[in-house]
Amino acid sequence: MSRSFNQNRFKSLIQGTHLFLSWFTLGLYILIGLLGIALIVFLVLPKGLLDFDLSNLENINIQFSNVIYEIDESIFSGVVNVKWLLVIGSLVGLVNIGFLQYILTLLRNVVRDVEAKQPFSEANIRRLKWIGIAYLVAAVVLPFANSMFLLHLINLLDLFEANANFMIRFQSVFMGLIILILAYVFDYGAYLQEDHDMTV
Amino acid sequence: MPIITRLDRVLADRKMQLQELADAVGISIANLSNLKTGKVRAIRFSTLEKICEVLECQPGDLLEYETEENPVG
Repeated sequence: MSRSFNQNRFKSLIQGTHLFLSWFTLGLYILIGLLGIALIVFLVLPKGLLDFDLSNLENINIQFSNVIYEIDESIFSGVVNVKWLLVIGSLVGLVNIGFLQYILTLLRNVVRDVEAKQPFSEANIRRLKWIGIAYLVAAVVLPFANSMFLLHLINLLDLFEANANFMIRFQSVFMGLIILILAYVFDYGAYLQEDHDMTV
Repeated sequence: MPIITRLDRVLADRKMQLQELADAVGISIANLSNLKTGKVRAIRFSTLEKICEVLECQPGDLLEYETEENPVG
């Protein structure tokens, strides 16, 4: 049977990916820990300590589709309390990084099994299914969480003309569907693998 | 499963150990043991050919079909 992949090159690729994902997920665990600590600190700190003078703002840039817009900071004035902005920001950050961590951890385990030459294991099928489901959930939950944060920011800064639109991420929906189809392909692969293993 | 293997009987007739057959055929003893105990799902023609060659028998000597109602003794 001819093999489409250069086995040695693929092995190196998988080993490299496994190493990268292992370090990356470790880094994300640290980031989640720091964000968790920040969240607790923001919750515990007295409200009076988190007043922010908007006149201190300078050089505000907002980037949309690779175009940077410079905002006239003179429209902001007065003192606002940023306690709940920081709390919501930390929570939204935790949700975003939590999803990324969950998906990358499952992916790392999938890659680990592929490296061990057991790609069609029951665990891999389950992991792929959950990655697909996580993408579908993230397509709704993450834009919602991000728009909640933006809405709070808009209310805090009294930006009446600004709006935080909530829109489902269709890229995530398609990605989730593709991964769920891949999980089904792996399920069939596991059936064929079992057939092959039980043939002498 | 209605198809049963008679490898143990043929081996006993030839006074041959499973390990000897495994060495002669070039299959692991674990796989041959699974074949003997009927734990496998399929057997390749190439494997059957090698076993028949070493044991000097026919495929029919190794495999038997038995119905659920009328088991072969």
